Amino acid sequence: MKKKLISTMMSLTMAAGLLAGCGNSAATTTETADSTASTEASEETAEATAEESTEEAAEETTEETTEAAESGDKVTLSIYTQYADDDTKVPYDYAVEQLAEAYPNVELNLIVQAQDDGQTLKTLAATGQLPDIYQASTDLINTFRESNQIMVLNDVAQSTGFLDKLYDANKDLAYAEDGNIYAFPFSGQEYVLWYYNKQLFEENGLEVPKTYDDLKNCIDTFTAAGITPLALFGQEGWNTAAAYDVIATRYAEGGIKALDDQSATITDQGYVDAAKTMEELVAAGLYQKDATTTNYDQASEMFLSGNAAMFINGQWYIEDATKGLGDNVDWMFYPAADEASYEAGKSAFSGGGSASGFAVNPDSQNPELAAEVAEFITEKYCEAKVMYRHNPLVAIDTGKEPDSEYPAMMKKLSDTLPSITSTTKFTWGLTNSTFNDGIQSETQGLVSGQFSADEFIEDMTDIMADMND
Amino acid sequence: MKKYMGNKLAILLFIAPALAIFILFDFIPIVQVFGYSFTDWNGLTMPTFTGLKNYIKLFGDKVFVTSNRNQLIFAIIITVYQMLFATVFAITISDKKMKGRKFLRVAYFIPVILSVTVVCQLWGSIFNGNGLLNKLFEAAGSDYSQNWLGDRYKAIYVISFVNAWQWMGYQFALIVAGIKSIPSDYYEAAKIDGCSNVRAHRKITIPLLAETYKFCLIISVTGGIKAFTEMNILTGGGPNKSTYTLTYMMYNAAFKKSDYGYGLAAATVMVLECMMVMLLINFIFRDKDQGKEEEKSRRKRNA
Repeated sequence: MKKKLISTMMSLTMAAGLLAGCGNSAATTTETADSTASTEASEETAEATAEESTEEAAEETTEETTEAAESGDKVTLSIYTQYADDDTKVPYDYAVEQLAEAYPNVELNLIVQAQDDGQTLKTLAATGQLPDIYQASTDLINTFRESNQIMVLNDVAQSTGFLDKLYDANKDLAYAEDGNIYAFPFSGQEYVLWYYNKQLFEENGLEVPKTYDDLKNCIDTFTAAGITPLALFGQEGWNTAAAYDVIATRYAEGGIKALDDQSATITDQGYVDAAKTMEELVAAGLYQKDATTTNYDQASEMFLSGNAAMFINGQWYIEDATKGLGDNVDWMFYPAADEASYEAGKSAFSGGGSASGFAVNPDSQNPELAAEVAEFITEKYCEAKVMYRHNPLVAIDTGKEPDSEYPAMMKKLSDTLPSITSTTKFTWGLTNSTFNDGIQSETQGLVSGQFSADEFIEDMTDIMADMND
Repeated sequence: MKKYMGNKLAILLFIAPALAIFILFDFIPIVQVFGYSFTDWNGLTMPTFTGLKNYIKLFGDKVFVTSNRNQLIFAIIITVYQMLFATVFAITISDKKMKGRKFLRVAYFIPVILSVTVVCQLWGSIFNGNGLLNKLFEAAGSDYSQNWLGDRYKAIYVISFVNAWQWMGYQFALIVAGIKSIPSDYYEAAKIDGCSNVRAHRKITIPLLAETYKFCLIISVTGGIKAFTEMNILTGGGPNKSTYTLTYMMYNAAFKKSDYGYGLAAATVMVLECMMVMLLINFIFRDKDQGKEEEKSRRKRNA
């Protein structure tokens, strides 16, 4: 009897849970319907919804929408963006704060972006659940363009004055291959920097390497002293691709960008020489042995704690490196085969901008409002990066000043900018997904020291042959 | 019982729910996977029929060979490790005189209830460059430190070991249950005939567990063919795709390159491989006596 009673109670609890789950879904629908209310776009959306739904549901939605509009209810927009470290949290929090003042009736529902090469977003797109605003890379923009799941933002960019605020050097970043604007970029031209620990170099009587022979000398000295010469976070394919690119650009200015747009081939002498140089450096012990299974946190910790003398990362790391190492950190121009190439290569940097930024879901319940908010957030991201992250390399002219002096490394970079004549691309800016996947895994193979330069060239030749398939 | 089994409507009613779920969530998706594998599809737009192009490309892909080799290594290691240790441990704790058998029974099963992520993090910190294992070698004065997870040849063995370690307890539980179902009279009779413990298990336990072993073998081998999670967490499929499997190829093509057609061709081959392995195991473990009896009764009916 007692057992029966317990079973009945459990069954009832489960049934209640099930009903509560369904009930919740209904509540969300109502909430979403409410949220369509307080914008100009709401009437259109309500109409669109009414067409798709049953007549009864449509009437209900319209009634709720009207009621909500009158009561000035808040509109909730979902946003899918990075929120992992200070470089992503600070701009987002600042943008939300500013949004509350400029759009008091708009609330953002943050969905934290997963580091998964866009697969979450693609899955959401496949199931028709894209967020209202999402951070899109070049690859995603190209994919969603084909499926009409990304809004054309030309008019909004014009009406909000976004295009006028864009720096001339970043104008290209706003436009996709077809000449339309699909995302508001907030990052400007970015660069791969080769950081080094000045103190460790001084303590070991070493000078900043200009040539690969100098670099090999540094490797020997650091290895003998029990210091890892360069900490790489090779678990992330972009870092190994950047490690190859900083060498490739010494031999062929276009680096991996030229391979991506197929204006160069991997069998060109420059790329072959770069692969062989990398193979030699790996064999000499430039990177830690387990570089391919090391993540960013581990590698950064090695560098900041003085266990590694050098580090390769984007210029966005300047703030963290300065915080961790103070005046003991700097960046160097990439070493080259000889001094002449070193000097000549000072104007060619790895990295660059990409047509990526905040995009809008055209099937959003409030597409126009979402587009306006996306533009607003982009501006605020740029402001926060300048003011609080001391990074002037943003897409638009914000007219803001940093809250304290720029770090020495950023000043050095700013002074160098006018002389930079060519850049390449980060992997997220590459346009061909086959090449992108290939260069990340093949360079990882080179870094592991278990794949030869010849294997690299052979495999990349096959991959490049598949690029137009 | 006979009354129910003779009623076709009752049979239909009983199997309908399971059949409906199977058709909806297994059969139809598998057919769809097979269909889309002949197309060029990015997962969002309309697919374009491309015939056998994806399969031709797949069979010429170097990573396809690596993936199949890895699956084979993975399947062999986990099968041998799990079945061997599960049998030894199950037989050991089935001895009622043994002390601490309750503790061991729980201890062997604990890894099964842990999340794969937790297990991989645990073994990851043991096997990484500055991990526990290399530190132990250093402490012992040995220079045998290895790049366990970053080695293109060794990494797959390490990954297989992690999986085998975690899931051994599952097979152990199945074999313990199987041993419990064997009547103790058999062992008593064997003992009277002067049979040793080892010989009794060899002649009684293992042959009577044939059905259990068949099931264990199927889950081990198909588990090897479908392997993905451990390599995704421990090595990310690297270095340079050297720890890929067909599931990883599917994942990479579909989600990283938006090439669903190619990814689903890899998935189709994987499904076919699993089915072939199951058929092979069923054939090896077929009940020969039952087959003879069926043949006899068929002849009788025909006569």
